[in-house]
Amino acid sequence: MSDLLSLLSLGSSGITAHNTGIAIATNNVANVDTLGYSRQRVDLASLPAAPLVGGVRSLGPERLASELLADRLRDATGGLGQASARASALRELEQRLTGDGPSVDARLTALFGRFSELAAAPTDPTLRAATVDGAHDLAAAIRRRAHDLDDAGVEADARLGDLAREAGGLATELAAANVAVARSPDDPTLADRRDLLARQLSALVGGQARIDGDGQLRYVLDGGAVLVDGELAAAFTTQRDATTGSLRVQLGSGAATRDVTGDLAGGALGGVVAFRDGPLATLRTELDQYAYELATAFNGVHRAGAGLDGVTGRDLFVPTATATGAAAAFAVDPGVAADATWLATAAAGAGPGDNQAALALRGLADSPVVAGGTRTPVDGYLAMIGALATASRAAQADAAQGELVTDHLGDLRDALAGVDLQEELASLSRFENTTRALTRFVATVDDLLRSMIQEL
Amino acid sequence: MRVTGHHLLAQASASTRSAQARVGQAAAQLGSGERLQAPSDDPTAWAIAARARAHASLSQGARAGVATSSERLEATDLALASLGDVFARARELTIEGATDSLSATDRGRIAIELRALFESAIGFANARAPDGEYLLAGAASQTPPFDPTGAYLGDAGAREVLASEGALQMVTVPGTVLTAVDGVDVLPALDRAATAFASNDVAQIALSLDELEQAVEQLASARTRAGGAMAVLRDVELARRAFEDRLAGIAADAVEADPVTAATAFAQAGQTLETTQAIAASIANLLRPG
Repeated sequence: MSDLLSLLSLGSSGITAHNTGIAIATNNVANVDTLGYSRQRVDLASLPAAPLVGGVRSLGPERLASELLADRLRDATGGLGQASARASALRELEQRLTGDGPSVDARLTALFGRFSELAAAPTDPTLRAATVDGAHDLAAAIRRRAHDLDDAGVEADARLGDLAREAGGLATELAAANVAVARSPDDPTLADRRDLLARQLSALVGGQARIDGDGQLRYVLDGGAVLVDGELAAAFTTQRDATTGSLRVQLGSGAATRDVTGDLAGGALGGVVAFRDGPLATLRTELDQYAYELATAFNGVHRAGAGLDGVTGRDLFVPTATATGAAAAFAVDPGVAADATWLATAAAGAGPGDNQAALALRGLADSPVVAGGTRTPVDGYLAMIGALATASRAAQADAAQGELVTDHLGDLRDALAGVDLQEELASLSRFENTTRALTRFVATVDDLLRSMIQEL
Repeated sequence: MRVTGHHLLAQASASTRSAQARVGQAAAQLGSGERLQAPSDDPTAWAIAARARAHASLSQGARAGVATSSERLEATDLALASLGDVFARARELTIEGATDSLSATDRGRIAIELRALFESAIGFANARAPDGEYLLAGAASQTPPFDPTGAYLGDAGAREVLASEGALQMVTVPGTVLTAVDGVDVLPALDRAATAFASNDVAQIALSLDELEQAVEQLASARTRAGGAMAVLRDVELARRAFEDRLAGIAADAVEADPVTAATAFAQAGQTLETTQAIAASIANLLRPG
């Protein structure tokens, strides 16, 4: 009798163990589309069989995940976030600078063309007015590109602010996930959630995360600033730099605040900073320098020439004292703008029909007067845009490579932790069949017991 | 490596998306005829095209200057031709009037015609371009180059325009060609002839004939100069057009999509898309539970 009761117990434990298997498989199927979910597996262990009846029990659900893989995936995600943000910003900028309307190089060649025409008929009032219009067009194009760059800077700052806010929110969630994991260390879904948050944070800020011996995840930015430490999350804030006017990203923990803008090497934040403080800043400086050198070159020739009234020493474009802000301030001299006869076309002392100054102004097209006297005006501008295009292409290549690496690591993660419906359905079927068999076994033992009780 | 059904589906979906993107790109190329949507698509090709377009634009500007100069030279040539006609007639009259058989009255009649010719010669010598510029004034082109006596008030300035890169071509004829700088002061010579006829001064008429002969030669020489410049400008115009066509070809080769290649790429991308869609459907079918 007691043996039969033991058999009942054996059957019962088997049914319980296999029901756990069914629950785990069902949970896996249910989470097949859950982002960051790691499949779980139930392992069965036989109970001690002494001397005759053993049994089975289910070991707690095992989460199939690799910390090493998660770590590499976070790194790759941070790199991809950086490259993608940089590539996207650079692509937008190049489209902004080359997309709408005539470009600076087109305006420039048009102005040189006007000087060619004017050289053929320097006293023609229509051609003089058209040439002044051409100078206005060039000035407007340069100013517009300066505004485009300013707008790109403003947008980069706005994006930086948004990303910093989003990263701050994720850091707080990550700290909360640490707390939850500490409270329920055996709940695999909490670990999944924390991994996912860390990966999402990595896409925003780069940096490194590690799980310490106490089971708590610590997140450190590239420069060493601690973002998440256990249940504590530092707060991102932004502040405008009083000198440059650009946004700085700060990380605050308690009363201490640290500027981490320069430390953000990875993630979308790092990408935006790299774009804003790298190619964008370079281009702004170069465009200012370009505008300054161009105005200086035009003015130098124009001053030497004489207008229709024989007066020399006039500027064609408003001169600036330094290169800083020269592009945004690029404008036709008000005197020339108001009276096209001021346009210098003749050599000093020559009659109004002379065209030496007009020819000299046209000659600037072939003179190395920009980029420190190494490039012609058109070539200098094209070189700037060309450098931007090359940087954009390189960033796109970085992003494509980062995507390949991330995809590969994602594939590896999926191979380990991804849910396969066929596999889970097979498990379900296996557990279901075993449970059915065990149910029949229990029923049989139950019948035996009932018969024995009736016999008694 | 363990490959999950979910992974297979995700991969099939990614392949379909990628194929769709390729179809979009190929369609954009086919539709726009442009191989590049942005400079970063091919920075080197973009730079080649941009430089070629810039050079073409500069050449077009120079060509416009050449066209204006050609028109002005034609007007100058017309003025010189008219002057040539005037002086040819004056020479005829002077030859006629130099014979002893003519009476003072006949010479007086010739004097009247020569005076009229002188007046018209002053008008031709002060010919203006459509923009009001005096054609034979040199650089002093805003004021009439010849006064009523035929004295030259302009200067020797001759205008040049850019013919080819770094090479200039003279495109105006200064009024100095009608002055003693090139031989004789042609207009005063005509004035003197008219005066000689009016005063029936046979000796002076003989001298005037020599001067008018010289004047006719000077005018012919000036026309040759203008004609030579016009011929050069015609060659420049043709050469520039050919140069611009070549530059347009370079730009097109660099950034424009070849229609046949683009159509082939579009067809291939379409086929790839169909295949990836079929594969995705098969995988979904295979993985369907039950």
